[in-house]
Amino acid sequence: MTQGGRVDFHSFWKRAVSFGKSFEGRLLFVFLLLGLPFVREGWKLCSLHLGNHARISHTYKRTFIGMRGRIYDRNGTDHPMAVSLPIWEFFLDPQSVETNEKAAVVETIVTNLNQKSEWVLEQFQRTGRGSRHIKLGRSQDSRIHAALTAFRGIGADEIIIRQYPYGRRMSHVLGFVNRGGVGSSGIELALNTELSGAPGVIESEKDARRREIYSRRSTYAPPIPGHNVHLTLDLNIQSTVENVLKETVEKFTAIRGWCIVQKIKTGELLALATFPDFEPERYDEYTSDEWKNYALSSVYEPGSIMKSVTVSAFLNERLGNANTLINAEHGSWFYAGRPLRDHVTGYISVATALKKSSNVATAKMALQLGNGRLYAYLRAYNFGSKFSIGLEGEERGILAPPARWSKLSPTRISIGQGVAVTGLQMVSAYSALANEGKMMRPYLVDRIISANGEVIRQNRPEVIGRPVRPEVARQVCDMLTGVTESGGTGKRASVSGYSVAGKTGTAQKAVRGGYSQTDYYASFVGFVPASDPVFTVLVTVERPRPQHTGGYVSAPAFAKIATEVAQYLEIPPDEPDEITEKWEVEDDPL
Amino acid sequence: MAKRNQYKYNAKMHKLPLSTNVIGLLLLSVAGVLGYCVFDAQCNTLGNEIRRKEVEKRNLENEYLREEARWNASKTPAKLEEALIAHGLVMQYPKEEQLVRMDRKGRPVQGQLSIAKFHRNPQGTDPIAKHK
Repeated sequence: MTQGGRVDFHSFWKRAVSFGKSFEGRLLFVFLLLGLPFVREGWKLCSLHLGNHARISHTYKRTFIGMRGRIYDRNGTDHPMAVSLPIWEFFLDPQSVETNEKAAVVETIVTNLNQKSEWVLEQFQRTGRGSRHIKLGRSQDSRIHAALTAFRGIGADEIIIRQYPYGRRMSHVLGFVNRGGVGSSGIELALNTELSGAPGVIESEKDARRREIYSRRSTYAPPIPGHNVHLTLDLNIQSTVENVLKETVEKFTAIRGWCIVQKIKTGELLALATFPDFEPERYDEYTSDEWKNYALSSVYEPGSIMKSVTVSAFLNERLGNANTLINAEHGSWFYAGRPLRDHVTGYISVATALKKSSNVATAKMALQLGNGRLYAYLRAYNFGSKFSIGLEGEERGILAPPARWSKLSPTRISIGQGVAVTGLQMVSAYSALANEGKMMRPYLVDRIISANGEVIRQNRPEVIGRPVRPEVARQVCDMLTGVTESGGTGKRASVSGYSVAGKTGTAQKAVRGGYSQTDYYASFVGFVPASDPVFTVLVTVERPRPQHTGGYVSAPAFAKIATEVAQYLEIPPDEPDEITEKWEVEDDPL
Repeated sequence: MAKRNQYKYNAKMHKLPLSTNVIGLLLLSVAGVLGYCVFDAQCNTLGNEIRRKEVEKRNLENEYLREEARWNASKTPAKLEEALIAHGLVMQYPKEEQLVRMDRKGRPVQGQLSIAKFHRNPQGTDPIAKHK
């Protein structure tokens, strides 16, 4: 083909034509014709699988909600008080419903979702925006899901809701989550970070049908459920407390009431209730005032239940003993130009002063203590401070420093006026007296456990102070048992089979410019059994009518609660009732 | 001669247009491509199966949560009360006379056990205590 280094195209062309006309040439031509598409497809295949397609969006991303943690009471996992639950929210697209199935669709919706047939039929007439995605209702029943989604035109979105299986129980403690799934009250708010799960994610690529190409998955992070919270509250005790509280508030047409039950030796709260309560799942139907946990956040003048604190301080300072006589005057005592009324008269012992709740005797004890010491003891009992129990809304109460006291202040503060406390402070003070002077930190959360069982946080009993010596605490406890005996102000608080130590309190409600003459706080706080105290109960009722004293309103509620709690906790009675009937016993093997 | 001509003819007619090396290379490529396609299809099938199982697992987990919630809802105090009423059962704490008091050492208080036994058997078929 080349002549002297130059290509001879004429002869090359002749040879090519000759080859093309030959059998081999024709065979090669056919071979190439049939093979080229395969080569092209192979090239395309390689390009699709191995090429860089950054300029085309094939990204597939899907996130999964991490389930919010559960809240349990103290009895393990038997009683989940708050759970997150996947349910279906059904919707209707009327235009997609087959005409011949319309009647069946309507009937199925009415039967399974408790909707009225008139309403369902109206949805078929809707036009305009939103007419193709009409919410029908929710259900967690998979049979209902199967029945409804069998029809064209009915779809279901899976959503996560927060459910409170026990309804109103512990509503103020549990709180609620808002529509965005964020804790907004109570434990749900306080431990929102711990309860919240972490979402899971899949990052991958998708095909032309928008389905994930599994082999292209680059990231898979499973969702992490939130931690579970175990409270110290006991559902059964809480139920008893809430029932009795409701009964008491309704009986005396009060505004509200609250009750706390605390385990003395450890400080754990066994019940924390406020009535009226609310339904956490329908929180938006209630006012913010109804969400408020009054047992922690109501600041009120305690009245006579403060006297035990004053008496314990008096004894601890060795200013007297249980038999020291104090002049309770003659029904009224003028000091600093103001009268202090009393229903007790004459010389009475310190023990009697507490039993009969003498204002004058207690005021005189406070004067002997002096402002500085009285204030110090009140602070030692944690009045004027928070316990930081972990719930939002806990108040510290109002206790002014002695520098701001008037001459009258010690006589009033000592009997529970001119000082404002919370129910939690009061119950803790009495628990300290019952616990030989040791004040335990009250707490509500026992432990926080991750979904895989790891203990994230464990709370333990903690001694936070010792306001009085053990022998003084025992003395005061002995005096307080007299309150429920004959002649005491709290006879209605007696519990069959058990000795009770406690104190009644009736305090006028503070209003602008003074005190109300019609509205009172009626309280009773006590512990059972007095010989070896196990639990303390505080019951306070705000504005009971027509009766308004602690001995009449709150003491019976205390008795009912303490009776059930003592039996529930299987505490051996320390005062078995006498056998009043006559029996002739024969062959008693014991 | 005829045989040689026949041989030449056959060789001419059956001569391959390409060398065996090239054909072998092409066949190898096609086999590779086909093999790749086959394995890719299998991977996709497995991937679909895995995705299907993942969805099934999530659905089962959710179904478990729903069943658990249904069970918890059926044993709330309110539901238990309804069940008791439906079966005509009334439960309450024992009355005072049904209680046997024990002291701290676990011994019944004097006479209490006898009285409890008598109350359970008022016809007196096996009386231990008699009411005066």
